[in-house]
Amino acid sequence: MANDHPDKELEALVARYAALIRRVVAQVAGPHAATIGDDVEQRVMVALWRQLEREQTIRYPASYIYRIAVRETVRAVRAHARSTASPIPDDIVAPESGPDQAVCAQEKAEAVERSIRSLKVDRRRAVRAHLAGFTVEEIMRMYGWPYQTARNLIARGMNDLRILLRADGIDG
Amino acid sequence: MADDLRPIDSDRTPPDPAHLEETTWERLACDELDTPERDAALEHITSCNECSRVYRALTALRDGAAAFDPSVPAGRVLERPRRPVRFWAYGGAAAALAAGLVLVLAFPPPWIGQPAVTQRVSSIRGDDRAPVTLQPRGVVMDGPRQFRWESVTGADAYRVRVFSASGTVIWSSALIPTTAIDAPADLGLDAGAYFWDVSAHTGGEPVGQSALTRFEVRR
Repeated sequence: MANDHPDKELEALVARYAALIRRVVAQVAGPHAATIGDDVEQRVMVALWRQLEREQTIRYPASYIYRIAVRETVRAVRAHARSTASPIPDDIVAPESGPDQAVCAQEKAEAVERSIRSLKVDRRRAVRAHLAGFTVEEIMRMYGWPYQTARNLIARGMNDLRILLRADGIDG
Repeated sequence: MADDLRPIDSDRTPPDPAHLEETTWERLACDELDTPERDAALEHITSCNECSRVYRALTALRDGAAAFDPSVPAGRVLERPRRPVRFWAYGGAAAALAAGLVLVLAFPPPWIGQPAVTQRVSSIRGDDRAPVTLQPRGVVMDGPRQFRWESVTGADAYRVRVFSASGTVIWSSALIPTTAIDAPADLGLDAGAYFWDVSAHTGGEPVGQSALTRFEVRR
């Protein structure tokens, strides 16, 4: 299929992907979702077309567009995340924070990480995903686990983590 | 095929060693990573706030695109649990889990507290009278329990059909007025690939047909 004469179907497909990408970027933008404007959709559409124009021949146009859409989604999410980030300079700390508190927090964070790393592989995966805010359904899908397996791995992994942290002298 | 289709990409953002590269995302989204690569990618994703967002966005992209682009990889979509998640019904484990959560939340990593993103399916469709299939799709452990689809305006009944990989109709439902139907107990699908579709009807006449949706039974 020569892409210098895009047919209506291809045009419609690109437009759908652009609109979809805008929606998924808004979905993951959290409190910044309202800042996702029409320009995101427009930029994505232009990027999709520009990528398509670079290819003389596309043997599998639909899956090719999906690949491009994946790439543009990664870029759009990253760009939006960085544009809404409010970096705090290293030398600005909370008034109650001092060197001791910072060291203590760092040590605790390292202990948590060390404990997570020592969990059995599947429990570690479940715990990491759970702590990252993924739902049971998302974790099932991520690792191909049935529902009960995912739920049990989360519960047992979190229990193991608590025991390890207590043994390390860290308690909630 | 992946190499054939990789575009010249002068716009590519510089690789950031702190995050997954674009090509890794692309291969992950197209189910092309081998197991160690995929495990390493997921390990990073579940430890990185930014990459968690990207992962969720790509999951939503795949789900949304599946409604209008049949070439989208099926992915690892599993059956939704029948009951809501109720960790607290676990008796002794409940106290332990609660304690664990309190403990971790006492000094939370920066990625805790993100809202869970509920993604599933768009309103995009090519034909307004063609139902959009929701589940099952992708990998289904132990066979599908239920078939679900989006309603079609004006339709008063639907019929679901399940096909073998060779196209033989394995099961055809009666016309039903709802947008979900439990798989019959005797459906008995062996491990393997299958397809299903759903047709919308008005006054007994078919008015729209969904695209065929592939799912794979694993046991």
